[in-house]
Amino acid sequence: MSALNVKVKINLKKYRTLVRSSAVNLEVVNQFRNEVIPMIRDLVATGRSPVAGHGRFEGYKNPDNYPGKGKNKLKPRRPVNLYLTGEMMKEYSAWKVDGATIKLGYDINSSRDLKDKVRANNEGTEHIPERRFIPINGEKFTVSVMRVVKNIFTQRLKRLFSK
Amino acid sequence: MKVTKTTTTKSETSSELDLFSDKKLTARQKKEIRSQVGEYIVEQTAIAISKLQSPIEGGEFKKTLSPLYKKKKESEVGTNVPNLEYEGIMLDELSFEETDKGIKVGVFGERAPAADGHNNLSGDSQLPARQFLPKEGEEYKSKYKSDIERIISDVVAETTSFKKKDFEDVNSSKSLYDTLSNIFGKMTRAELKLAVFRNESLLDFLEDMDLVEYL
Repeated sequence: MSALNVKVKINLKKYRTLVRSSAVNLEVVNQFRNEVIPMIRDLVATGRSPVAGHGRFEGYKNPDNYPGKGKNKLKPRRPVNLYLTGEMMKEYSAWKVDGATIKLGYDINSSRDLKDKVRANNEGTEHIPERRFIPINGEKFTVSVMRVVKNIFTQRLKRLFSK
Repeated sequence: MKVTKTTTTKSETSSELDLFSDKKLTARQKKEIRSQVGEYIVEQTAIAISKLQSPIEGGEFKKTLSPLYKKKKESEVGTNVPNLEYEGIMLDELSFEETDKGIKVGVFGERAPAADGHNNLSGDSQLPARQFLPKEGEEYKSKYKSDIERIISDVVAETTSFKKKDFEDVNSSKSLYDTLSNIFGKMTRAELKLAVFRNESLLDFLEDMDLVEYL
């Protein structure tokens, strides 16, 4: 089954029980929603993948067909991004798995329509080019996304270490 | 992080950034820093452009188009926003290359002249300024500079090497942190602790030596 979400796990050694159980709290989850997810959305809006190694999204194969031309255009031809109604990117979220792990992406209980749309765009189909916005198969987020993640965890761990 | 040189040719419009001059780094660290900083600057430049902002301190970004061009772009592309995307080739070519002293960021390819049109690195452009590359002596805005410094610090923390004999006399928290300061540089105890956690080899070593209790 292809992935709808990805775990972001911070590497904490076994003897730091306090940190391992407490690194991810509600504040951190909210920071992910308010800072990491917007960074992912910003990159996608420019037509760039937030996943390392994927660069800019592939162009529309037949722009006269989609997104169309003249007054019937559904959206601008450039940049190529994943925004039409905005619904798919709006549902991209974050939630806590355990004290050291957060999940980013889409809930497994999302609507069938949304899940199909996510998988089709993320992995490509016969008719839709792959435009990766959720890492799969061991891939990682880009430097800009990871910078925000590291900044959040640096602040959180500093507070835990100061106790 | 100085801009030491700019280049404007038919196939390249770029700004060269010195990332290493005041730092003592291994070849491996330099390679990793080039890769991460280059990727970061390209991504953040693309985001700034999409928001009609210059990522350069004091840089201009004209937010309106001429009436004629506005109409043309609306008809052909479907938007009249001056986001530097018409066919999209110039932003496809926005990238970075490695240099001895760091990286050069720019547009490499057929749309390099268009990039100079917007940035006027050559001094010859008559187009409205929409600057996304720094000129010599200019700098990126402070939020980008802070993140770049953090990227460099993280790479150093994660890859700094150490010797067993550095820790031979460690028998207390104070002596451990003094030793870590010698290795990583002057930092607070919390920052040194973080630096240790980011360096897996050092963490494993401290565990093997039963020195973790002093962290």
